[in-house]
Amino acid sequence: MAGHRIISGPGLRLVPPQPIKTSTAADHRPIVLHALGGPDDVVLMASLVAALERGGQFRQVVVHACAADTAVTADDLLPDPGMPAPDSWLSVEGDDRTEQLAAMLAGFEAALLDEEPDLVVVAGAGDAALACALAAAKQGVALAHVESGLRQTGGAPSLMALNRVLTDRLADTLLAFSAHDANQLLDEGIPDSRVHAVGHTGIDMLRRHQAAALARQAWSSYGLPVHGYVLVDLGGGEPELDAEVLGAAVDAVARLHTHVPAIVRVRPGTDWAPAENSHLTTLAAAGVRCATDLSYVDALSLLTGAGAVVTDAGALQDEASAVGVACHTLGEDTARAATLLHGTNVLIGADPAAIAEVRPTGEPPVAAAIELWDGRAGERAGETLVAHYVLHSDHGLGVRA
Amino acid sequence: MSGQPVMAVSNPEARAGSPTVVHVVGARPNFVKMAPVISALGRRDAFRQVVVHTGQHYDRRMSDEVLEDLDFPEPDRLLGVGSGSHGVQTGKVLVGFEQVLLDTEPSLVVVAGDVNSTLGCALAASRLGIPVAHVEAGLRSFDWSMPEEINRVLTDRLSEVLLTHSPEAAENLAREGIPGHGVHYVGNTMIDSLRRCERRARALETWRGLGVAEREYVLVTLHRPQNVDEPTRLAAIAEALALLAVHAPVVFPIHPRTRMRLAANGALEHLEAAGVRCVEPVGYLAFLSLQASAGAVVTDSGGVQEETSALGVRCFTFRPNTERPVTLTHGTNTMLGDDPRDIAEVRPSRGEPTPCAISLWDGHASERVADILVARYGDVAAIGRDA
Repeated sequence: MAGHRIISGPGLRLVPPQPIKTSTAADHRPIVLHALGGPDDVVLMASLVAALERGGQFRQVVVHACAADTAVTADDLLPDPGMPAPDSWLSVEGDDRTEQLAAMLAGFEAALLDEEPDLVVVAGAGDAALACALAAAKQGVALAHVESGLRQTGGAPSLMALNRVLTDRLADTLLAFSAHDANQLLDEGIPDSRVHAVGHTGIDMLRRHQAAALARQAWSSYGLPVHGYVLVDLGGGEPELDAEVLGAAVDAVARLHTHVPAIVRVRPGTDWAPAENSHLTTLAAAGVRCATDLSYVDALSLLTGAGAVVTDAGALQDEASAVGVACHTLGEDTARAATLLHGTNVLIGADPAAIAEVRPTGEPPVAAAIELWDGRAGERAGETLVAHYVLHSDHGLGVRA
Repeated sequence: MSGQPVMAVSNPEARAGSPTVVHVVGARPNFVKMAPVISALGRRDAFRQVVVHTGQHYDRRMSDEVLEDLDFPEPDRLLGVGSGSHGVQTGKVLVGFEQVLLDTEPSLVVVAGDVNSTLGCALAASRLGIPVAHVEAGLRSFDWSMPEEINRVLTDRLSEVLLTHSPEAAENLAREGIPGHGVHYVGNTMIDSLRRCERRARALETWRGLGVAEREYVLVTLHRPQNVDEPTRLAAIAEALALLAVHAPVVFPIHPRTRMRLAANGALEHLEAAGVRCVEPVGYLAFLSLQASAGAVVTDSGGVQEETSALGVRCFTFRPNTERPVTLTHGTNTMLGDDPRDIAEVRPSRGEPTPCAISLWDGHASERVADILVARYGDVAAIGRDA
């Protein structure tokens, strides 16, 4: 496989030396390079990489770019993503996100020159996706984008929203999570031969870990009654909540907690992640529990046991719908149309005061089927890539033979 | 990396309270497109203008000469990103330009054309929520192997105001789902520069110094990497130019990098022996003079297709495609394709040039640009305060 290599460039170094797969005999398979930029991307990509690995038509190379200070924790958050370990870590150093983006532009460019892939796959809306997509396009390497066609619905475009539209513009193969997202791309003049509604690869990951999450019973370790608490996960949405709204939301959560138990998930990288934070103080004074540094399975466990969810994060709206937990989304609109049409999502408006009125159902969740969110999106995405980029493939992925 | 300290503000007399507009130039064609826009906005006095030179084109002598010919204002900030791979260069522009934006807090960023600086600065501005206006929006070659095409498509996607030079450009944007309310068909600001400099350029009669007669010679410009970086192809092109020189004098301004490549395999000697005038790259005015008096032009550049059309000089584009089809339908442009042998078949047209009038390529495009930008972003109250 990739072998040990050092990527040099402004602000880049290869850390720490990872187990590298040893190269086997001459391998003439086309090379697919998967570019990841953090735990969220791993969740979106794992089932596709696993499906392609089972099919065996591609030689796969995984490059994971992480800010230097998070490179280690990505592994801890996802101990078992169900996909091969990265062949190399691109450690991205920089004082702010722009410097990190610049480092990733140079770093992925060097990685592509080194690996000479036939196809690059990026996922989601992170800076890594944009950086690698741009590098691939400039080098004339075919590009596939997982989670294509999502669009922020109003407000000033967030960094993620910019990354989404640019990455979709650069992609040759656009893998959408729903027919709605695919239609969005067609509306933007992207030829339908490039657009494929394959389903939600993040839900594949959820299905794989759902049983383990239930068994984990993370709610008990916080002393919360199953299906009797409200899980709050704010600050990770698009557009980002401004400070005033976030402050009002914190007050509303404190009021909510006087009626029913609430627990707040604090994600790394959001405004209230730093330990010294007035919001966290307010919550602590009100007796609200805060969960930080949750692993994927622990987070899924808290979601599965919740009686209701309050969020502005797109991925959680999807996951709540897939699990069947009532989801209350702060905002006037959401990009996740499928969760409104077929899932459990309800818009509570832009005023955070409404959070105080949310109540848990007290019942086990009942999930409705959402088209293409069946745990097999990675297989379909893999089939699509094999059909487009592997010559003489009349066996598909071979998994059904 | 941070730019050098502010050296001069382009119109310091502008009121302190005026909104700020930051103009980006990075490479030679940007100067020609932006000079008349900056000048037209300056006369309206509705903005504090800051001009940023990213330094993407690193040949200082060539850049300075072009700036002087165009009376281009002294840039307020120099980022000095220099040459490099696309990723490294775009990254440097992103970081350097972000610092300028944080320092100057503009209401608007104006970018032009399709170079890496165009995309890098549009992206840096968008990430800070600052609106972007794109001069020369909507051009499409539909050739994804051109890095410029990628820069064009992404810059247009990021821009709030899209200033187009032909109806086709607006159609391309509509096809990509870009809302029409941001798209304005203003014409070609490059032609504004041409009209403004045409008299001075013609008076230079640069061709006289090369020992060629007016309308008798073929002017050749080649700079695309696929033509000048690949030795076999470059040799085939040189062979065709030597054949062409049998029929008509050939004037060939050569970039130093290309000259080195030609010299390396003996092609330069061959060209000179065949009588091809292998000259150094020339400034804006001298090049305009050479174009205006040529019998024909062979080029792989984008801007030359437009300038020859405005001058009425026949142009043969040595490329498989063009992002400027209006020069084919209404100008003097002919697609030559990318077979080097066809270059040898070009002949000068000895008659007087007959400029075709392309709609809104009238020398006043920048006035329309300025009106639109002032109406949308300017300190409207300030206009006429002196009256």
